[in-house]
Amino acid sequence: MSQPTNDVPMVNLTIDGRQVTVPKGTVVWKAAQLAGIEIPIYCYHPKMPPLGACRMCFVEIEKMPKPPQTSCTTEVTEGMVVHTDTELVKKARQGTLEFLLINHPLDCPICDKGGECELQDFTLRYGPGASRFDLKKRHFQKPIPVSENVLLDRERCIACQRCVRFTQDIAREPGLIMEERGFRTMVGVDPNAPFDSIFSGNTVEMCPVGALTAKSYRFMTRPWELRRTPSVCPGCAVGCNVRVDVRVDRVLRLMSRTNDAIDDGWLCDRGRWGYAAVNDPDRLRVPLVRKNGELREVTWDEALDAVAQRLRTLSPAQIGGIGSTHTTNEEAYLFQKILRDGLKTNNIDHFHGVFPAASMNASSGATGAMPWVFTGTIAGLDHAQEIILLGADPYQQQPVLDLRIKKALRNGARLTVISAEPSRIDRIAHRVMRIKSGGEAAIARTLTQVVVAEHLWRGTFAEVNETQLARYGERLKDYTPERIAIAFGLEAEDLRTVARTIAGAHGAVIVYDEMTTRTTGNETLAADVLDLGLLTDNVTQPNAGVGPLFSDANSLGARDMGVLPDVAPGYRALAKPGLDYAAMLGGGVRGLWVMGADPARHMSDPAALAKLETLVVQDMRLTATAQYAHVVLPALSYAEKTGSFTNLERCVQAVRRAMPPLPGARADWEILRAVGNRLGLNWTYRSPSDITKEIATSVPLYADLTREALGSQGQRWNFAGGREADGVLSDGGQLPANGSLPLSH
Amino acid sequence: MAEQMRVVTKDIEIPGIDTLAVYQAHGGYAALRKALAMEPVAVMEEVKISGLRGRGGAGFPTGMKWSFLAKGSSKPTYLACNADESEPGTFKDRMIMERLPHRLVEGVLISAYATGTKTAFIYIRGELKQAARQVGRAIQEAYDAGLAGKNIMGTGIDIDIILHRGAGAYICGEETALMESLEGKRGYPRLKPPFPAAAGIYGGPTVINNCETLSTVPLILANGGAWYAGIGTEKSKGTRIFCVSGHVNKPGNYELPMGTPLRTIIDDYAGGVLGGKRVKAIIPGGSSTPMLDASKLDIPMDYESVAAAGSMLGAAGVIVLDEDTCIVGAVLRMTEFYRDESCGKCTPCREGTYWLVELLERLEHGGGRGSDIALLRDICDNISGKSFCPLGDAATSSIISSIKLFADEYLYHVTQGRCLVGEGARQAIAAH
Amino acid sequence: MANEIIKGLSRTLREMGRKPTTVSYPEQHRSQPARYRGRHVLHRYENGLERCVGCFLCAGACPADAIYIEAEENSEAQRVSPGERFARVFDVNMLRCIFCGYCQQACPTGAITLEKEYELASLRPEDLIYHKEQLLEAVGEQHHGDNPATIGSNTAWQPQPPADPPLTIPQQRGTFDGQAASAAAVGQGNLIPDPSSPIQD
Repeated sequence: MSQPTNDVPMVNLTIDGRQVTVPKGTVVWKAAQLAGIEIPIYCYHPKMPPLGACRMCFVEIEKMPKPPQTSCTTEVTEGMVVHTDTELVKKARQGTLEFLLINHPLDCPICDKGGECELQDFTLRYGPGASRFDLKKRHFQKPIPVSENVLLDRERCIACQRCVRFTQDIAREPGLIMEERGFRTMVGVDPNAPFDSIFSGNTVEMCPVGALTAKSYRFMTRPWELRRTPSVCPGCAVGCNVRVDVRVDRVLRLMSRTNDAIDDGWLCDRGRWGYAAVNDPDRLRVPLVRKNGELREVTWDEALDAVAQRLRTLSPAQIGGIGSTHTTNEEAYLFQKILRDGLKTNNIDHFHGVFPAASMNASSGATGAMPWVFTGTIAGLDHAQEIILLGADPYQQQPVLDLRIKKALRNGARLTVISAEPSRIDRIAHRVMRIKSGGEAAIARTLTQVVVAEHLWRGTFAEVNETQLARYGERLKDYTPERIAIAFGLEAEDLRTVARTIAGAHGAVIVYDEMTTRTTGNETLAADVLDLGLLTDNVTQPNAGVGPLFSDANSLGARDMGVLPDVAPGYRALAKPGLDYAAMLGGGVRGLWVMGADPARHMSDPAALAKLETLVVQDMRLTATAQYAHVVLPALSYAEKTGSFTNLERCVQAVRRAMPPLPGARADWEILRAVGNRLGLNWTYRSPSDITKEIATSVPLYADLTREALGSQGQRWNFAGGREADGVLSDGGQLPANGSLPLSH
Repeated sequence: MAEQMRVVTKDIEIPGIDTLAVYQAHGGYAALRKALAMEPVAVMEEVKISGLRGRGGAGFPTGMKWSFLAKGSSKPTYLACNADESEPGTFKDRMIMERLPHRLVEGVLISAYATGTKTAFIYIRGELKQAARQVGRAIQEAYDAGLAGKNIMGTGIDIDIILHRGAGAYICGEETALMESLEGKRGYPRLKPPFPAAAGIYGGPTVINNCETLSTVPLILANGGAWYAGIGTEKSKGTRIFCVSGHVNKPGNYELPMGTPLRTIIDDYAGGVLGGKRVKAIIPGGSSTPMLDASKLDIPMDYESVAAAGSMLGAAGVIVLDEDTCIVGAVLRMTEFYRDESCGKCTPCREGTYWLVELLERLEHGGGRGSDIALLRDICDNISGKSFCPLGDAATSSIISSIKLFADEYLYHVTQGRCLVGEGARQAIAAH
Repeated sequence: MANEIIKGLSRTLREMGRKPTTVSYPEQHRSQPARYRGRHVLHRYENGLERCVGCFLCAGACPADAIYIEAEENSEAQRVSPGERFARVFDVNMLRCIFCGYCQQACPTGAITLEKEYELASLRPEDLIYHKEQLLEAVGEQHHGDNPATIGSNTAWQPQPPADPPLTIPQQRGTFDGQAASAAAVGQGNLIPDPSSPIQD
């Protein structure tokens, strides 16, 4: 956590006789925590600036006037001597707790927080034991819905303002406010702005008492009944670390499991409350096989035999497989392996964005190795100077990333939003450019054109390729700011300014949504943005990065694992690429195997699936695709199996089994193993760990990967593309020149 | 009646002194002209020589405060005039603003010049409508006459004065809460450090002074710091406007040199106690300062003597309570004020003042218990020094001091269930 | 020798006159001692509302893991218990239960007590998982006065809190009646606030 760094000097102090060394600027509370000394807090939250309101974290600091001091507002100084257990401190904490409790209802038996409540815990540890308040407590109407998902109990509120400060300072959205003053102080909803934040669940999680409760968890259980398993949120490509809380056979809530490098301790409501699919009573429990035109319940053996038999009757070219962006790396790997090794076909793909293998300016060699990789890191956003959202809306698609951007803004970053659709972050962006849908690629080229025309390029890559830049600029001559500005109703000067700031920034982050590349006109967006990044040296610099924001939890993992027609795992190019997603669904194959995907959603005419001779679907529910299937195999959710996800910034993280599997359903890897053995593959994987080991040995990107190494916070594989000093860049789809990419923390 | 010593309130009796013409006819804005001809450092030095101390309550030397202003900040510096006069028992700033608005404007301009600020704010308590109107008009007149705004008196110096009316919260008299309020936020006190001199309004270094303090500055400039330092006592220099209220015949503002005995103020200026009764208690500096009993009537009213007597001069709001006053009732009323005016940010002040009022009310109405008196003291101990800002301390001072001085009256409430003296006592007797 | 026989017989003769200890069980029932712990009963308030608020504390205290609860929120239309929460499912597995009585010790509302019923037998194990409907006392049957049916053994063995010491001070009851606060807020919930509460103005 607090690694000594060169720029921050360290400070030595003594807390309760223990020597502590922490970076300058640390508050006493944090220093005590690092020393393993608990100081009770309510208003303070490590992810928010100090407030000093609750008066709970008292300590006594020698040689400071007017003891006791609040430890959350006092910064450490050299030689400071802190005592946390003097009589004065004890009396002060008891006084505060007695005050907090005079109007607290003590309805702990029915309070959702009871058992994990900071007021309970600290009263037990530091409280006065008995109250001298013998008057009537105040009462409020309750509960009051403050949003669709959150309820407020004002009697329990201790006015620590954590929730209000989170919405105002961290999420930077209206909604919660403090109403009235003095002893009438209470949390309320801004009458002019509803509390409709996608981050509202965090206020429930950080509420130290049971004042804010989640509708979905309300009265469902008590904390001691829960089994808590560390895992990863399956909601989007950010891969926030979560704790899955299960009672018996139901997921009841997801809680944040702070990972400073990824989620910074926050979750979005979509992820937090998106577990309904796991508890869905309509989940498939029995395999189905189509008999006489109808799907009939059969035994697993019968269904698996049917799959093997049906697939065996088809020739390799007639078979295709559609993988998923939701299944684990292990399953994705096994899926492509069964198709390539067992069924001898390269017809494998999944639904994804468009990442052209080479950019329009292939001759200049200006393509990075992997245009589908976001070359920065999420944590790197913290200190980025310029952030450009080019057809990306993290608030809706990768919500926790939106909080990162807001953190960057607090640190002084400037935000430019260039998109066709309005988004919630427009309000606080420094510059908003509304363009037509499909114009993102043109904008990227225009910015590059400015960089070339104004000689703004910098960095090793541009220097090495300098001779070719003129030719490159020639190709972009149609993309002048003036022309593009007229086309989109913008100001040409604004485009120039954006290009100049990108080229001049100490770290610019340029991101687009994966799905933006699928709109007409944006086919080359990925390559264009990478070109812009390379020429302005924003690919590998710290706090910089360019690339896509993926949609799903394992979008990048599916690519890494080779669920693509043209590459094997680790992006090893194949001599004979297979059919891609559109070709397979467009009648290119006669048998289709779908694992955890619902291609019918992306088809203009889903009924075309009925023409397939064989359609095998593995899924949790009877999806639109499964309705046309010949064999449907019930699969398990992320909460019931083990594996790993790779998030949008290449961090591989462990998913752990949090609850017993739904009776009757099997994990996708188990299904694949069973079918594989029926196809004569003799697979002996006993657990996903065995598959992980195989991935580690056969996929260079994931070399050295083990479940142990993933630990609790995951591991990131390094991106070295575009960094080669000799300037010789490999073509897209091939490994970077140095070949081996060690995993790093 | 004895004559007052009019320094800050000089010429206040002259009809029409609130207009620019009359004010200038009586020497108004001459001090500004004089100051603009001096170096800012020299003006600050003059104020330092005068020994002027803050009139808001804390009594911090003004010149020294100005010199603390952070230099070389990337943000502009500001001057704020704290005219959010809300302390029960004080009404001096209101008089200055309503009747001598130009003196305040002149003082603000000189102080802004001395501290090198281009923008000055005057934060006026929301309820003081007339004062806001008068100051607003005075600022307009000053702008029209070229005394404020761009190129003041042709010297090329620009100082803008912005009038801001509060929304009626006692806490906004606390300097950092005032700044929050001024920025349009909720009136919560801020964390210190950083102190306003380093980061105040909109993050810029800020000098904040009381209305009376700033109104004194023109006189110091006009007559010299040494002249002002000659008035008053050794450590408490100059004059003070004493706001006398309570059970006296002639309540009002009396400007007198520092160190004037309390008895002189009450008897010679305020016309003695109402109905010839005896004094029971005096609150010397506004309701947030501890009470004194009648034995302290002869103390000189300066910072040091009042502190030695166990209280504070504060904002010099002298409240006189006569022998027929039920102390518990009076303390209850004051504590109610603090309960209602607590901003609610910190726990001890928010919950503690509520509890104190409940207990005092129970005592006052005869439902108290013997343990309540000790409980009151312990609650006060848990609030005092533990709250975020001084409001918590202020709320407890009258309770602690009154229990110390008039414990018998509290006990009488417990044992007899009614007041020892006053209206409450008579009612209870009549009922029997 | 004869002496010994006479001694023995005299004992026999003496005992013959006494009432036997044994009872002929199915027809006759023995009354249970005050602290007897038999089957659980879920109690109601006088107004018919259930005492149980579904807090899970009995389940948490249970050393045999015999209690399973699912709670739900009272609605305006259907009020099962006072306050906000009630137990929708309340199962006691009598096969696991060791009749230790920890559940009634843990209960904050006095909802669950171990009563006198001991006839717990069945040929089918599933019958011995008692559901809420079986455990709950019928409306109108709840404890009035000293009706022994559902008095619960709490009264017999739980020490009573000491009474408030009498005040020597004459109390003039004006605005404040000095009534002591209690943890009864558990049952207050979203009922209409007490108009005498000082916050309401």
